[in-house]
Amino acid sequence: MIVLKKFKIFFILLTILLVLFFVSCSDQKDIKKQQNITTGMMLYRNNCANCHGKDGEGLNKAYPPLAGTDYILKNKNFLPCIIKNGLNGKINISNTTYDMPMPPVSLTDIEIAQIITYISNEWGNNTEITNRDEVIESLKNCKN
Amino acid sequence: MKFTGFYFSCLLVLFLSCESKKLPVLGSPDHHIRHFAFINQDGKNITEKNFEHKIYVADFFFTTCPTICPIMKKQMLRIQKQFRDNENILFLSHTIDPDHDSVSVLKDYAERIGADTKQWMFVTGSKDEIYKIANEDYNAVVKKDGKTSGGFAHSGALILVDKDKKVRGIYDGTKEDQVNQLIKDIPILLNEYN
Repeated sequence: MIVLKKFKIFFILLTILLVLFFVSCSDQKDIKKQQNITTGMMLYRNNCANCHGKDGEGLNKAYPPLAGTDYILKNKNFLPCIIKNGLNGKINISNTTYDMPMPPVSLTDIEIAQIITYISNEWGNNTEITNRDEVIESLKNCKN
Repeated sequence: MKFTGFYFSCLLVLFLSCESKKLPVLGSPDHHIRHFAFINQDGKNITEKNFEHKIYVADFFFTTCPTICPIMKKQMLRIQKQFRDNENILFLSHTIDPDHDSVSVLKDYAERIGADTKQWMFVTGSKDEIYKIANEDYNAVVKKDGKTSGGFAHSGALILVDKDKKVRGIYDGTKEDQVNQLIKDIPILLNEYN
Protein backbone atom coordinates (compact mmCIF):
# COMPACT_ATOMS: atom_id res chain seq x y z
CA MET A 1 0.00 0.00 0.00
CA ILE A 2 2.70 2.43 1.04
CA VAL A 3 4.76 1.54 -2.00
CA LEU A 4 1.79 2.29 -4.28
CA LYS A 5 1.24 5.66 -2.60
CA LYS A 6 4.93 6.58 -2.99
CA PHE A 7 4.81 5.60 -6.62
CA LYS A 8 1.73 7.80 -7.15
CA ILE A 9 3.51 10.80 -5.60
CA PHE A 10 6.62 10.14 -7.69
CA PHE A 11 4.52 9.86 -10.83
CA ILE A 12 2.70 13.13 -10.10
CA LEU A 13 5.98 14.95 -9.42
CA LEU A 14 7.48 13.57 -12.62
CA THR A 15 4.47 14.74 -14.62
CA ILE A 16 4.71 18.23 -13.11
CA LEU A 17 8.43 18.38 -13.89
CA LEU A 18 7.90 17.27 -17.47
CA VAL A 19 5.11 19.81 -18.02
CA LEU A 20 7.25 22.61 -16.57
CA PHE A 21 10.15 21.55 -18.76
CA PHE A 22 8.14 21.65 -21.98
CA VAL A 23 6.31 24.85 -21.08
CA SER A 24 9.50 26.69 -20.17
CA CYS A 25 11.29 25.49 -23.30
CA SER A 26 8.64 26.86 -25.64
CA ASP A 27 8.44 30.00 -23.52
CA GLN A 28 12.15 30.63 -24.11
CA LYS A 29 11.57 30.83 -27.85
CA ASP A 30 8.54 33.03 -27.41
CA ILE A 31 10.38 35.29 -25.00
CA LYS A 32 13.25 35.76 -27.45
CA LYS A 33 10.82 36.52 -30.27
CA GLN A 34 8.96 39.01 -28.09
CA GLN A 35 12.21 40.73 -27.12
CA ASN A 36 13.15 41.07 -30.75
CA ILE A 37 9.73 42.44 -31.62
CA THR A 38 9.93 45.02 -28.85
CA THR A 39 13.40 46.20 -29.86
CA GLY A 40 12.33 46.10 -33.50
CA MET A 41 9.33 48.28 -32.67
CA MET A 42 11.53 50.94 -31.07
CA LEU A 43 13.90 50.89 -34.03
CA TYR A 44 10.96 51.08 -36.41
CA ARG A 45 9.51 54.09 -34.57
CA ASN A 46 12.84 55.90 -34.65
CA ASN A 47 13.85 55.11 -38.22
CA CYS A 48 10.86 54.20 -40.30
CA ALA A 49 7.68 55.60 -38.79
CA ASN A 50 8.32 59.12 -40.13
CA CYS A 51 7.36 57.99 -43.59
CA HIS A 52 5.69 54.61 -43.16
CA GLY A 53 3.60 55.70 -40.19
CA LYS A 54 3.43 54.55 -36.60
CA ASP A 55 0.81 51.97 -37.60
CA GLY A 56 2.46 51.05 -40.89
CA GLU A 57 -0.21 52.96 -42.78
CA GLY A 58 2.16 54.84 -45.13
CA LEU A 59 1.00 58.09 -46.72
CA ASN A 60 -1.35 58.08 -49.71
CA LYS A 61 0.71 57.54 -52.88
CA ALA A 62 3.93 58.91 -51.41
CA TYR A 63 5.08 56.26 -48.92
CA PRO A 64 3.83 52.67 -49.17
CA PRO A 65 2.04 51.00 -46.27
CA LEU A 66 3.59 48.05 -44.49
CA ALA A 67 0.30 46.96 -42.97
CA GLY A 68 -2.43 45.25 -44.94
CA THR A 69 -0.11 44.05 -47.68
CA ASP A 70 1.48 40.67 -48.31
CA TYR A 71 4.63 42.35 -49.69
CA ILE A 72 6.49 41.98 -46.40
CA LEU A 73 6.04 38.25 -46.01
CA LYS A 74 6.50 37.57 -49.74
CA ASN A 75 9.76 39.54 -49.96
CA LYS A 76 11.44 38.87 -46.65
CA ASN A 77 14.80 38.11 -48.27
CA PHE A 78 14.79 41.40 -50.14
CA LEU A 79 13.89 43.56 -47.14
CA PRO A 80 17.46 43.84 -45.75
CA CYS A 81 18.60 45.24 -49.11
CA ILE A 82 15.84 47.84 -49.14
CA ILE A 83 16.55 48.95 -45.59
CA LYS A 84 20.34 49.07 -45.92
CA ASN A 85 20.64 50.46 -49.46
CA GLY A 86 17.41 52.33 -49.95
CA LEU A 87 15.20 51.85 -52.98
CA ASN A 88 14.82 53.72 -56.25
CA GLY A 89 12.37 53.18 -59.04
CA LYS A 90 8.78 51.99 -59.22
CA ILE A 91 7.35 49.51 -56.78
CA ASN A 92 3.84 48.15 -56.73
CA ILE A 93 2.18 47.58 -53.38
CA SER A 94 -1.53 47.08 -52.73
CA ASN A 95 -2.47 48.08 -56.28
CA THR A 96 -0.63 51.39 -56.09
CA THR A 97 2.58 52.30 -57.85
CA TYR A 98 5.08 54.11 -55.66
CA ASP A 99 7.98 55.93 -57.22
CA MET A 100 9.59 58.10 -54.57
CA PRO A 101 13.15 57.22 -53.60
CA MET A 102 13.65 55.66 -50.19
CA PRO A 103 16.91 56.75 -48.57
CA PRO A 104 19.22 54.10 -47.08
CA VAL A 105 18.95 53.66 -43.33
CA SER A 106 22.14 53.37 -41.36
CA LEU A 107 21.61 50.36 -39.10
CA THR A 108 23.59 47.30 -38.00
CA ASP A 109 22.69 43.86 -39.31
CA ILE A 110 21.13 42.83 -36.02
CA GLU A 111 19.04 46.02 -35.94
CA ILE A 112 17.79 45.31 -39.45
CA ALA A 113 16.89 41.78 -38.32
CA GLN A 114 14.95 43.16 -35.38
CA ILE A 115 13.01 45.63 -37.51
CA ILE A 116 12.11 42.88 -39.96
CA THR A 117 11.02 40.63 -37.09
CA TYR A 118 8.78 43.46 -35.89
CA ILE A 119 7.16 44.37 -39.20
CA SER A 120 6.62 40.74 -40.13
CA ASN A 121 4.83 40.06 -36.86
CA GLU A 122 2.74 43.17 -36.53
CA TRP A 123 -0.42 44.34 -38.25
CA GLY A 124 -1.88 40.91 -38.71
CA ASN A 125 1.31 39.18 -39.80
CA ASN A 126 2.76 36.29 -37.87
CA THR A 127 6.00 34.57 -38.69
CA GLU A 128 9.33 33.40 -37.35
CA ILE A 129 12.09 35.58 -35.98
CA THR A 130 14.54 36.97 -38.54
CA ASN A 131 18.05 36.55 -37.31
CA ARG A 132 21.29 38.35 -38.08
CA ASP A 133 22.73 35.56 -40.21
CA GLU A 134 19.74 35.65 -42.52
CA VAL A 135 20.20 39.40 -42.95
CA ILE A 136 23.90 39.01 -43.72
CA GLU A 137 23.07 36.31 -46.27
CA SER A 138 20.38 38.44 -47.92
CA LEU A 139 22.70 41.45 -48.12
CA LYS A 140 25.17 39.41 -50.19
CA ASN A 141 22.56 39.12 -52.92
CA CYS A 142 21.34 42.71 -53.25
CA LYS A 143 20.82 43.68 -56.86
CA ASN A 144 21.86 47.18 -57.90
CA MET B 1 -28.39 93.78 -1.75
CA LYS B 2 -25.53 91.34 -1.37
CA PHE B 3 -27.23 88.98 -3.74
CA THR B 4 -27.68 91.66 -6.42
CA GLY B 5 -23.98 92.52 -6.18
CA PHE B 6 -23.01 88.90 -6.53
CA TYR B 7 -25.44 88.45 -9.41
CA PHE B 8 -23.99 91.33 -11.38
CA SER B 9 -20.43 90.19 -10.69
CA CYS B 10 -21.30 86.82 -12.19
CA LEU B 11 -22.76 88.49 -15.25
CA LEU B 12 -19.63 90.58 -15.62
CA VAL B 13 -17.37 87.53 -15.40
CA LEU B 14 -19.48 85.73 -18.00
CA PHE B 15 -19.38 88.77 -20.28
CA LEU B 16 -15.62 89.14 -20.00
CA SER B 17 -14.99 85.48 -20.70
CA CYS B 18 -17.18 85.71 -23.78
CA GLU B 19 -14.96 88.54 -25.07
CA SER B 20 -13.35 87.14 -28.25
CA LYS B 21 -9.77 86.02 -27.88
CA LYS B 22 -7.24 87.50 -30.29
CA LEU B 23 -4.00 85.93 -31.43
CA PRO B 24 -0.86 87.89 -30.61
CA VAL B 25 1.16 89.65 -33.31
CA LEU B 26 4.63 88.12 -33.24
CA GLY B 27 7.81 90.07 -33.85
CA SER B 28 8.28 93.84 -33.81
CA PRO B 29 5.19 95.98 -34.58
CA ASP B 30 6.14 96.54 -38.22
CA HIS B 31 7.45 93.01 -38.81
CA HIS B 32 5.76 91.40 -41.79
CA ILE B 33 6.42 88.99 -44.63
CA ARG B 34 8.19 90.87 -47.42
CA HIS B 35 7.45 90.80 -51.15
CA PHE B 36 8.27 87.43 -52.67
CA ALA B 37 8.28 85.86 -56.13
CA PHE B 38 8.32 82.08 -56.49
CA ILE B 39 7.06 79.45 -58.94
CA ASN B 40 4.47 76.89 -57.91
CA GLN B 41 3.97 73.23 -58.82
CA ASP B 42 2.02 74.20 -61.93
CA GLY B 43 4.75 76.51 -63.17
CA LYS B 44 2.79 79.66 -62.26
CA ASN B 45 4.42 82.75 -60.78
CA ILE B 46 3.38 83.23 -57.18
CA THR B 47 3.79 86.45 -55.21
CA GLU B 48 2.30 87.88 -52.04
CA LYS B 49 -0.53 89.18 -54.23
CA ASN B 50 -1.87 85.64 -54.49
CA PHE B 51 -2.43 85.84 -50.75
CA GLU B 52 -4.22 89.17 -50.71
CA HIS B 53 -7.24 89.05 -48.41
CA LYS B 54 -6.29 85.57 -47.25
CA ILE B 55 -4.65 84.12 -44.20
CA TYR B 56 -2.19 81.33 -44.79
CA VAL B 57 -0.01 78.68 -43.18
CA ALA B 58 3.57 78.49 -44.43
CA ASP B 59 6.35 75.98 -43.98
CA PHE B 60 9.73 74.96 -45.37
CA PHE B 61 10.65 71.46 -46.46
CA PHE B 62 12.29 69.41 -49.19
CA THR B 63 10.92 66.36 -50.99
CA THR B 64 13.81 64.00 -50.18
CA CYS B 65 13.71 64.81 -46.48
CA PRO B 66 13.68 61.55 -44.49
CA THR B 67 12.96 62.86 -41.04
CA ILE B 68 10.57 65.64 -40.07
CA CYS B 69 9.02 66.59 -43.41
CA PRO B 70 6.75 63.56 -43.80
CA ILE B 71 5.34 64.26 -40.36
CA MET B 72 4.88 67.95 -41.16
CA LYS B 73 3.14 67.09 -44.42
CA LYS B 74 0.84 64.62 -42.69
CA GLN B 75 -0.10 67.32 -40.21
CA MET B 76 -0.59 69.89 -42.98
CA LEU B 77 -2.92 67.44 -44.71
CA ARG B 78 -4.85 67.17 -41.47
CA ILE B 79 -5.14 70.95 -41.31
CA GLN B 80 -6.15 71.21 -44.94
CA LYS B 81 -8.84 68.59 -44.39
CA GLN B 82 -10.35 70.76 -41.66
CA PHE B 83 -10.45 73.90 -43.81
CA ARG B 84 -10.82 72.45 -47.25
CA ASP B 85 -13.88 74.45 -48.26
CA ASN B 86 -12.76 77.69 -46.70
CA GLU B 87 -11.64 80.12 -49.38
CA ASN B 88 -10.16 82.52 -46.82
CA ILE B 89 -7.20 80.30 -46.03
CA LEU B 90 -4.32 79.04 -48.17
CA PHE B 91 -1.24 76.89 -47.56
CA LEU B 92 2.26 77.65 -48.82
CA SER B 93 5.10 75.13 -48.70
CA HIS B 94 8.53 76.33 -49.84
CA THR B 95 11.27 73.96 -50.88
CA ILE B 96 14.67 74.60 -49.34
CA ASP B 97 16.31 72.38 -51.96
CA PRO B 98 15.39 74.15 -55.22
CA ASP B 99 18.30 72.43 -57.01
CA HIS B 100 16.51 69.10 -56.68
CA ASP B 101 12.90 70.13 -56.17
CA SER B 102 11.95 71.44 -59.59
CA VAL B 103 8.40 72.34 -60.60
CA SER B 104 7.73 68.83 -61.89
CA VAL B 105 9.19 67.20 -58.76
CA LEU B 106 6.98 69.39 -56.60
CA LYS B 107 3.94 68.60 -58.70
CA ASP B 108 4.55 64.86 -58.42
CA TYR B 109 5.17 65.16 -54.69
CA ALA B 110 2.02 67.20 -54.07
CA GLU B 111 -0.08 64.70 -56.00
CA ARG B 112 1.45 61.73 -54.22
CA ILE B 113 0.85 63.02 -50.73
CA GLY B 114 -2.73 63.93 -51.65
CA ALA B 115 -2.60 67.71 -51.32
CA ASP B 116 -5.34 69.87 -52.86
CA THR B 117 -3.09 72.17 -54.86
CA LYS B 118 -5.81 74.73 -55.53
CA GLN B 119 -5.52 75.64 -51.88
CA TRP B 120 -2.04 74.36 -51.01
CA MET B 121 0.86 75.56 -53.13
CA PHE B 122 4.35 74.08 -53.31
CA VAL B 123 6.87 76.64 -54.49
CA THR B 124 10.45 76.77 -55.65
CA GLY B 125 12.64 79.71 -56.61
CA SER B 126 15.92 81.40 -55.82
CA LYS B 127 17.67 79.63 -52.95
CA ASP B 128 18.88 82.98 -51.54
CA GLU B 129 15.41 84.43 -51.54
CA ILE B 130 13.86 81.36 -49.94
CA TYR B 131 16.48 81.10 -47.20
CA LYS B 132 16.32 84.82 -46.49
CA ILE B 133 12.57 84.95 -46.17
CA ALA B 134 12.56 81.73 -44.13
CA ASN B 135 15.09 82.93 -41.60
CA GLU B 136 14.31 86.63 -41.44
CA ASP B 137 10.56 86.84 -41.95
CA TYR B 138 9.06 83.47 -41.07
CA ASN B 139 11.62 82.61 -38.39
CA ALA B 140 11.72 79.04 -39.64
CA VAL B 141 15.48 78.43 -39.21
CA VAL B 142 16.73 76.94 -42.44
CA LYS B 143 20.28 76.08 -43.45
CA LYS B 144 22.34 73.70 -45.55
CA ASP B 145 23.95 71.16 -43.22
CA GLY B 146 26.05 68.26 -44.44
CA LYS B 147 25.83 66.52 -41.09
CA THR B 148 22.05 66.36 -40.97
CA SER B 149 20.22 63.44 -42.53
CA GLY B 150 19.06 64.69 -45.93
CA GLY B 151 21.57 67.55 -46.00
CA PHE B 152 19.39 70.40 -44.79
CA ALA B 153 18.57 71.44 -41.27
CA HIS B 154 15.30 73.18 -40.71
CA SER B 155 12.75 73.58 -38.00
CA GLY B 156 9.40 71.91 -38.48
CA ALA B 157 7.68 75.22 -37.94
CA LEU B 158 4.24 75.98 -39.35
CA ILE B 159 3.76 79.72 -39.48
CA LEU B 160 0.34 81.35 -39.39
CA VAL B 161 0.18 84.62 -41.34
CA ASP B 162 -2.71 87.10 -41.34
CA LYS B 163 -4.16 89.27 -44.10
CA ASP B 164 -1.66 92.03 -43.34
CA LYS B 165 1.26 89.61 -43.75
CA LYS B 166 1.92 89.63 -40.02
CA VAL B 167 3.00 86.50 -38.18
CA ARG B 168 0.34 85.48 -35.70
CA GLY B 169 1.59 82.09 -34.59
CA ILE B 170 4.45 79.64 -34.96
CA TYR B 171 3.74 75.97 -34.28
CA ASP B 172 5.94 72.88 -34.31
CA GLY B 173 4.51 70.85 -37.18
CA THR B 174 5.94 67.62 -35.80
CA LYS B 175 3.96 67.86 -32.58
CA GLU B 176 0.32 66.84 -32.72
CA ASP B 177 -0.75 69.00 -29.78
CA GLN B 178 0.74 72.11 -31.36
CA VAL B 179 -0.97 71.38 -34.64
CA ASN B 180 -4.21 70.91 -32.67
CA GLN B 181 -3.64 74.40 -31.28
CA LEU B 182 -3.09 75.77 -34.79
CA ILE B 183 -6.36 74.19 -35.90
CA LYS B 184 -8.07 75.97 -32.99
CA ASP B 185 -6.32 79.29 -33.71
CA ILE B 186 -7.24 79.48 -37.39
CA PRO B 187 -10.96 80.18 -36.81
CA ILE B 188 -9.99 82.71 -34.12
CA LEU B 189 -7.86 84.57 -36.67
CA LEU B 190 -10.53 84.30 -39.36
CA ASN B 191 -13.02 85.71 -36.89
CA GLU B 192 -11.03 88.95 -36.67
CA TYR B 193 -12.15 89.76 -40.15
CA ASN B 194 -15.86 89.30 -39.58
